[in-house]
Order: sequence, then structure tokens, then C-alpha cells
Amino acid sequence: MNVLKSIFLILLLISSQTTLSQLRIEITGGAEDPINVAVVPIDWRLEFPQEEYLHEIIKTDLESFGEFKVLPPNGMLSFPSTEEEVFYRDWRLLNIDYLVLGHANKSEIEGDLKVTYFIFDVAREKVIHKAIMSGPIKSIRRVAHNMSDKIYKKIQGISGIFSTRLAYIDKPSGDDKNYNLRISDIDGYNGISLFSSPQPIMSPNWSPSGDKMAYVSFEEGTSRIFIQEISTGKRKGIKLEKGINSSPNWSPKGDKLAAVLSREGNPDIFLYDLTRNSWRQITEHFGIDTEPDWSPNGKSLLFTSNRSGSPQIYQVNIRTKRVKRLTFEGTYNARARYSPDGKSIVFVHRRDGVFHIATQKIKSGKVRILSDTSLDESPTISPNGNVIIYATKKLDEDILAGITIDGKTKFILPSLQGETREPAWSPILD
Amino acid sequence: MKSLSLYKIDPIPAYIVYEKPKKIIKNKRISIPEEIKAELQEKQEKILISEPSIALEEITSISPIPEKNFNRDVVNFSQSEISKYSSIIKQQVMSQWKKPSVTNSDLITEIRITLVPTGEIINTKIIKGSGIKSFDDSALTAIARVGSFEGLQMPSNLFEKHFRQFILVFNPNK
Repeated sequence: MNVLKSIFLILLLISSQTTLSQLRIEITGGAEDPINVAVVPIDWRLEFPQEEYLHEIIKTDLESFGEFKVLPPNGMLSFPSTEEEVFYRDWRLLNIDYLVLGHANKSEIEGDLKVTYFIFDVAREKVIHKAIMSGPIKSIRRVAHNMSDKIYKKIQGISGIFSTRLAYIDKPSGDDKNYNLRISDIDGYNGISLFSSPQPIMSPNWSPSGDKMAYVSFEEGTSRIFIQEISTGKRKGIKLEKGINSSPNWSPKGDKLAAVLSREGNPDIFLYDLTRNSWRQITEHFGIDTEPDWSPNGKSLLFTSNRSGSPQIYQVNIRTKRVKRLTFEGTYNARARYSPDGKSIVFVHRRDGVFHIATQKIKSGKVRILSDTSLDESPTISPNGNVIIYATKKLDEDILAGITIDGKTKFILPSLQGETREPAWSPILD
Repeated sequence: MKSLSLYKIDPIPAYIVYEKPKKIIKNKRISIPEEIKAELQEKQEKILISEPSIALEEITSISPIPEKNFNRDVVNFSQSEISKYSSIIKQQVMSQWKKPSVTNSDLITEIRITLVPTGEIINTKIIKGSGIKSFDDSALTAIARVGSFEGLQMPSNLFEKHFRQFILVFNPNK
């Protein structure tokens, strides 16, 4: 037995010596070029023509944040619509990394279509995803956005955000004398007005399941927090307290709202229990505490306070009510939001008299300025953590702009009309 | 040191690390000869090369080289040769790697590459995955896009010793 063991050990020693000499080369970075994708026009096998082309919507989606470059059909050498028709050489010649193709058929469900589609890794000559996406023909944009999300997820490893929506406030302009709380797709399409009033509307905030919206309305003469169901439009004001009632922010579980009340004389952070309909005070300070945001784990809140003399970002533990200051750079830091992983914050930071959107790692405290415009405000983070949309000014008009978290891609939201403020990004919607 | 100027391309920093022995012998009843023990301990030291010039100095400063602890072949090839070809490989992989957006910290994928002397990649195997499929896939795709390394004409014993099979460590957090 011992002999066997020692033979085994010797063998083990020999084999470990051979692996010892294996060279390791570290690859620490990649190419900066965008990922090249070809989306072949989807083979349309329905008896009527398509009004909007799936491949065009997908192209616009994937290119919106600068991570992908999508080859237009006029640059293609072939138009496969099934796996068998793919000649990888064609796509390698065009320097394509990923190929998307498929065909659309009528679904068994009346008024629906189903798109069978494939994603190919051209270099590895391999199908990396094969699926059927179905939905109503009249909501073809939604079907396309859902496909874009899947493609994004397969290639980038994080959720796509092309099916998410944006809420924002339109100020009165032109013929419309009202403030409007609107919701649209993230690309600006399918906009609807959820609520409209001649008095100001402020601080829209999505419920975690994306079915309701909380906001502040001045329709009764003073600020009051309302909750509105998106599908039915049904709305109700929550228990009104003396003074300011503002900045509602939904808890991750959806059972509470953090908000600001000034019933004690000056603004502090409170929690509103939606099942018990009661308020509970969290911060207590003679300074102004405002703009709460709930941490993804539900254990703490971010808020802005001037308790140190200038507006700075603080974090309060909800259970212990212990307050910790997070920002120390500069004399103006406000309107903070947690990143979806809870590890960083995004906020408004003033440097040299100019208001920028900045991000800071909570642990290290390192501040990084993202936007290079001025008068930037109200940042809202995409549910996958990759993009920030914020309100800014262009030629004295209030507009919405966006920037990727790496600061590489900047964009202005088109197709939104009028003067727009206070964007709020929806959660991932099913 | 003058030999550095003979490089045809500028070397970029490459890390060469020799793996630690994977198993530690715990059974005390079996006595291991003292010299093997010593050898094991020696081999556990990592050789880290951050810059070829510094590396050369480091290596020349280790003298005299205890002969029994090093394989003769290793001594025959200067570290700068290994570093040069590692840099060539690193450069070609990096130019083809499109990192996915997934940013969970500490994603590392280790892939064993097998080459033939022409530089053509004939086999790839993930020996340690990152746990995120898209990240592992992006590394495999980068290798597939390289297909065949250029500029790896080297003495056959150097190729056999270090470059027929080696490990690519995809570590964007470095």
C-alpha cells in the first residue's frame, strides 16, 4: 500500500513539475473599437407588408450607446434567413463579429407574429443564441426592442435596456398651458401623457415593478405626493402633512416611500408605509435634508443635506438612523442616486461654478466627472447601470441628454418635444 | 542590456508567472528526499516581469544560478526572448478582444492555447472560467479572431519549451 502511495506521489510530483513551466500571458485590455454586428433584414413571411422594419429598429437600438456598429443591408454580400444559408466567409470579409438573422411568421394567436431568430459568433462559426420572439403585430417596435435586449445580453453579459421606458415632466410650452407627466419608450417613441395640470408637477419616481408612478403635484395649492397606476390612470394622494411633501422615492420592495416632510419645521427625510398609511421620521437635523434615494438592498438612503454648511451627499442607515457623509470634494454635491449594484453614486457636482454629472465609488470616495455640459441636473441611471440620462440646457431650453457610465458616448434625446425636465428611468419591464 | 535595441518591435509589458504546484503533500508518513523538498520551495517563487529591462536586471542579480533548481533549457533562453514573444502574442490578442460591458469586478478567464510552429492555434481550452458566459465567450472569440499568430519564428526548442502550449489570462482589472 505504502509503495503504491509513493509511486502515486512521485507521479504527482512529475506531473506538477510539467505544469510548473507553463507560460502565462496576461491580457489586460481589449480593442476600443465598437462591436461589429450585421442584422440581416428579417425574412417577412406574412401576407401583408411590414410598416416598420425590425432590422432598422434593432440597428438604432444597438447603436444608441456607441457600443455597437451595425452594418446596413446595402453593405451585405448575402441575405441569409436560416442557419443553413450562412457562409461565415462572407461575414468575416466584412469584419463582422456577430450576425443576426431570422424570419417572421404569423403566430397561432390572432394578430400576433413570431420571429425565429439566430445570433452567430462569426469568428467561432457558432450559433450563440436561437429563439422565438412573439408579440402583437401592431407592437412591432416592442418585439424589436425585446430582440435587441436579448442580443445585447448575449454579447455584453448584462441586461439590455431597449424595452425600458422614461418618465419626465414637460413644462408648459406653445399651445399647451399645462405641465405634463409623460412616459415614452427610451428611444422617445410611444409617448403618452399620464397626468396634466396647470400647476407644477415634480419628482416622478417608478415603483420597482414599473406599474405605478409616484410624483409631486401642486394641483391643491400646496405640494402633495400622488401615486398613479400606469395602466388604468387611477391616482390617489397619500396622507398630507403640514408644510412640504416632496421627493417620493420607492423602496426596492415597493412597500414604502421615502420622502421629504417639513412638518417639524424644517425638511427631514421620512418613510411612508403604504400598507399602514403612516409616516415615520428617519433624519432629524436643523439643516435641510432632501432628495432621498433608496439603496438597492433596502437598508439605507442617500440624501442631500446642507448640515455642514454646503449641500453634500449623506447616507443614513434606516434601522440605526446613523448618518454618514459621503461627498467631500467641492462645495456643491446634490441629487444623488445609487448605481444598481449599490457600489457607486451618481450626483450633481459643481466644479469651477459649473454643474456637472459625476460619479463616485462609495468605498474609495473617488469622484469622476462624466458630463461636460453645464447646468446639468436630475441624473437617472439605467437599470443595467450603464447609462445616465439627465436634464440640461441647450440654447436656454430644457432638454434631456445622456452619457454612458464610462463617459465615452454622449447623446441628446431626440423626438421629445417641448421643454423637458426630471427624467426618471423605469426598471426592467417584463 | 544593448541587446534590447535589437528588438524589431517595441515590447509591451508582459507578465510571466510560473504556476505554483497544485498539490501540497500532506501525508507525513512518506518522507520526501530533502533535495526535492528544496526544489519545490524554489519553484514556488513567482517570476514576475513587468518590464523587460528591469527583468533582465533582476535576473542577472540572481547569481550564481543554483543549477539543480532550474531546468537547463530555461537557462539557455534569456527571459527577454520569452518576454518578446509573449508581447507579440499579447498585442495580437488584445487587438482582437472586444471586452463585453459586464463589469462585475474580478472577472478572470484562463485559457490554455496550443499552437503549431507556424503560429496557428490548434486548440483552446478554458481551464478557469469567469462564471460569466459572455465574458468567457468574448475571450474565445478574440482567440478565434487571431486564428494564427504572426511573428513567432523562433528556435524550435524555445517553441517546444514555452510556446507550444501556454496560458492566456484575460484580466481586464489589472
